[in-house]
Amino acid sequence: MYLGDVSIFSPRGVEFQNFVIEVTTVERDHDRLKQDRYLLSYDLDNTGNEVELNEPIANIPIHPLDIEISGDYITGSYKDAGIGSPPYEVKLWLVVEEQPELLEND
Amino acid sequence: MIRGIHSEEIAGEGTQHLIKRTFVPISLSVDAANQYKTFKVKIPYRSRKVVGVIVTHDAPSQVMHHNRIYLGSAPDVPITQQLIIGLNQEFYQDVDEQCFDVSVRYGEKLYFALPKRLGSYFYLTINGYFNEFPKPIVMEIRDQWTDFKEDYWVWESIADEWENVQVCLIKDSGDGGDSDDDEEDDEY
Repeated sequence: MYLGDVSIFSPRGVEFQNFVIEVTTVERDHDRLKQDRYLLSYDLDNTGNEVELNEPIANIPIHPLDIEISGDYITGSYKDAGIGSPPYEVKLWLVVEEQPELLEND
Repeated sequence: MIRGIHSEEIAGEGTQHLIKRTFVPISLSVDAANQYKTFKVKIPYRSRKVVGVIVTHDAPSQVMHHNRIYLGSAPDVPITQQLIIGLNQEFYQDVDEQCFDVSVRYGEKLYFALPKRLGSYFYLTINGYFNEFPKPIVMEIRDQWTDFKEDYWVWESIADEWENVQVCLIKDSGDGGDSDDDEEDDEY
């Protein structure tokens, strides 16, 4: 079922747009982010706590969802497709990345 | 805050980078059809880019169930949600007989969980034998992928001396349990 669509904006416009078609829509790099394991123990009631992932990696791959951020805020939208049965709640989990730190070899 | 640090060694030459990622949750309530909701959230200091998005929702729908089956070997302890979601996961197929190969560790029992919504006209066999499971209990299971809760039938095997077995879920079409279970109605 097509429930709606999610958009994430950047200073250049809509950087990401995707349909929500099932209970969960997942866009991820499974091996790198290992999100599942963290979400398992994460507060799914969304009380505002954050999960931080720290991961040393040898190369910095280009992720297909890379959306550049400018400033302290990120904006986006969700539009209901009119097929679902409101009221309901949509939760977006943005995985944001900091500037990589170069690790010095001993 | 939950912090996870990966310390695995990565073979290769050159430099290594430490990348910090943070989940930023956003919750939106949709109250009416075709509603357009916007969000603006503050992100952690030094954030550079968005590299992933997970979307979950709790909109009710009859066609969005995943019909996930949990089955496998586990210690003989009281049945809990944690025990069930730690089992292997398969998907229910709407066929008369669906079989799975399961390795049962020594001294453990075989557990099988099926969404209760699918009906009560199922029974299980182990290596073709009936009566290896007592009647199932009902337990609410929260799907770890979708955060969706629903009641499950949970079976626990009687014996614990199995090794590699084949478990079959058999749909008993004989005693109904579906909407077409009234024999008198069928005559008209």
